[in-house]
Amino acid sequence: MIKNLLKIAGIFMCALYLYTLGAVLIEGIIDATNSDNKADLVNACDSYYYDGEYGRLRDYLILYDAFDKEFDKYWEIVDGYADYIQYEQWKVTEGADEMVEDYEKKIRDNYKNCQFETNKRILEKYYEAIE
Amino acid sequence: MKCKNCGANYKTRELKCPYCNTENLIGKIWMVERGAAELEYEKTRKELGKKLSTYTINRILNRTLLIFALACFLATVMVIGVIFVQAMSMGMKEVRDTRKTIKRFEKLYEEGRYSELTKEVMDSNIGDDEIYTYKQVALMTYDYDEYLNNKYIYYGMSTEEKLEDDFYLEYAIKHSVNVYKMDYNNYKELNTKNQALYDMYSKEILSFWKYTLKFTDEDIEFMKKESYLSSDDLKGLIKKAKEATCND
Repeated sequence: MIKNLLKIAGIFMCALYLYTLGAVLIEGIIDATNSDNKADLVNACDSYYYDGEYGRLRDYLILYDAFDKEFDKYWEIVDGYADYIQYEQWKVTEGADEMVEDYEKKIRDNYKNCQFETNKRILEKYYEAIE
Repeated sequence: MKCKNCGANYKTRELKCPYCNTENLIGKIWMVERGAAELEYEKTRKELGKKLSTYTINRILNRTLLIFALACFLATVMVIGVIFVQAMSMGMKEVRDTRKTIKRFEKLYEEGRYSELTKEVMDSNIGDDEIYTYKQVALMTYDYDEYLNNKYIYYGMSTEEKLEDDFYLEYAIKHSVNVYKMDYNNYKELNTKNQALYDMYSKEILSFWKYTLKFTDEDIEFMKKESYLSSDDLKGLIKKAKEATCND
């Protein structure tokens, strides 16, 4: 009886091992195809985007290597945000007029070359702050 | 057989004479023996049945276990084989492509694409001496990018969040200290080729420390000291930085 129970336990463990291996392989294949992951990434980006958390959004885009076309809208706003932060920092730094000018130019260019309507309002805000 | 009473012929197995109803002793003995034989047969049949079902179950279990164990073994061997072949082919590809890779590092370096260079250097297994310059750039740029990331997140926080949560400010300071001190074990010696990049990063970091966080020259000297920046040291600096950034 005990021998049979041990055999049944052995069969069960082998089945579990094969199931786990299969699940990991299938998950790997699904990750490689990537289509659903991208939708999740975009949803998460939207959440940071609409909450105005551009710093976190930038960190998230870098963390997940989100460099495809779907993420251009987010990169436009986070780059604009980063340039503005750097401008603010150089503005209070002594002897950094050249850097201030560089960043003013970047902020103007970001606003003038804005491709996404939803980003225009924020980039305009940065632009107005330097004018 | 012949009936003892009426002399009629009838089958030996009959219990009575069908003509005069006289009891047939031989028939009765046969009947008893037959009953005993049937019982014996049933008993033997049941015993054999038990043995057979146990035997069958054992056989099924043994074969199932063998099949599953073999499947597990083959699956494991296959997975190990695939990983091994991939590692070997990557390794061989890397040996073949070392010159190509170093040329790529040069290109990225010259184009100022330091973040991309960082990623590729970190992924490569090329020996340190060959790519000292690029490894140093990669380490500096990694810390500089992390400093910027944490700084941008910190700037985007509300005053209440800044007062409650030190995480991003702490890591902005930590990473900026690493860059400023060139705190990289085997890459402390600043390569002359990297001097301009180091100066650019340091200038920006000093601007952040002095003019945003309001660190004094003494604070900056303190951060430059040889020994490791302890958590108490860091707490003091963070407290100062929060007063500067939350009161503005």
